Amino acid sequence: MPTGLDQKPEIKQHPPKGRRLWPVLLLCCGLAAALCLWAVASARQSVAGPVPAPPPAPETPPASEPPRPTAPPEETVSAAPLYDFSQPAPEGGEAEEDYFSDAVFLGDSRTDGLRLYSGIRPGGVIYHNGLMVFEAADRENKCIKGADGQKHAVLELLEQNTYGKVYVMFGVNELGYGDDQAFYDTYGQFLDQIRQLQPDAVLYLQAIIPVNEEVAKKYDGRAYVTNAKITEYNTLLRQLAEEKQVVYLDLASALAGEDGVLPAEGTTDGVHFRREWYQKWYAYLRTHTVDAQTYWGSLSDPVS
Amino acid sequence: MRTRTRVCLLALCAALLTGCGGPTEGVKAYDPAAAAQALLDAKVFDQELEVLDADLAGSYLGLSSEPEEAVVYTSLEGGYEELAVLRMADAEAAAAALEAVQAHVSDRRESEAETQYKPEDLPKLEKALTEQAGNTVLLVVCADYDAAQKALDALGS
Repeated sequence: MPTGLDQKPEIKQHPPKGRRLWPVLLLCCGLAAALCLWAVASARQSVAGPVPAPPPAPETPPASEPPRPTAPPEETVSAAPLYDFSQPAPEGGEAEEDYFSDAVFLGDSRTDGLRLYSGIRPGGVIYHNGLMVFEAADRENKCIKGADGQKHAVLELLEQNTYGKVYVMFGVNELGYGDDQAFYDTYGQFLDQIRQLQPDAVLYLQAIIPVNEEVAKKYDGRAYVTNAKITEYNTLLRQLAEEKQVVYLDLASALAGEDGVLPAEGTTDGVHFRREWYQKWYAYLRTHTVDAQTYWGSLSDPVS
Repeated sequence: MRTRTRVCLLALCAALLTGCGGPTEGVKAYDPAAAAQALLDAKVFDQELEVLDADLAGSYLGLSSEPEEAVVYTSLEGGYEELAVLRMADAEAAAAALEAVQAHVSDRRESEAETQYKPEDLPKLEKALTEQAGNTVLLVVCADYDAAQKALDALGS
């Protein structure tokens, strides 16, 4: 009978101690190598910038998720500089005469003089002797006869055509009005109305050109026609130009003498001009234009 | 010899008739530049006037056809004094131009009556002188119509 002693106990043979460490070492080496490769790759990436990702495969977003806007292409052309509406239009190169072929001028008898004597040939002139901004802004005030023989409001005539530029000058007939706030507010409303009717036009606000008080008093003795009041109004108009984002044209500095007075040789009655001064006015307009693209790019709330 | 004399006399008569009669109906037309200058020299205007660029005459006066020659002066003072002498293509065009000029004056009179911009000019507008002579048209709005008429009479029209 075999005894248990004869039976060789089953001995589980363990590998020697050194041989058991090999797989662990190999695994460690593998991990170390992977770590090194990853570290090198990361370092390269941080120096060279992001590696362009392969184009994403087209995928349909889940119905619940709104489509993501495509990222805008990288801009390579620098944007045009913004126009500063708080400043008068700077002098630039002389515009061609046909620059004004799509321009309309709104104003009073001075604007009529510009039309008749300066040499300008604008697309339109809407004016009336003695016209004030209060009347021009009033759609019920049908004071100008149109081509159809009917009387129309200024705004009605304005909306009959499409213009690229609108030039506005009011104020000399309002000098004795006596309510600066009403002048400012109404002028502002008028500019808003123009912008609504002519959304594609560049708006120019022309300063009131000074008068020659001495000549004006001799002519008809109207004491309220003063350059002090014109300066006050022009300060308001400049503020208005900034607020409404329209181009301010400092014609006051351009046509008055160094003393701020309209020279006697430039006027017949102290208020209206002689031909040469109308030509100076036109010359100023030609050298103080604003590029339409710059204008539109500078509006904080363009209509169109 | 007789035949030659007859032909010469006929030619002379024809030339004289053409010179005296003007383009139409035997009425002497105005020479725009001479008539305008005569009125300016006669000092019939109180206001300072300035000549208009000729290409603006048609649109300024509301003409349906462009004049062949135009001399137009308007007030530099925002007033209503003015002077226009137009030479049109023919008497028919002149008749149309006369109507347009009269409508122009009427519009200005109406406008001034409403606005009272220069009330002292309203009587001048009410007496405005408009006239057709052959293929020409005359418009005068001035301060002294007697002197204006004398100046025009002196032109021999």
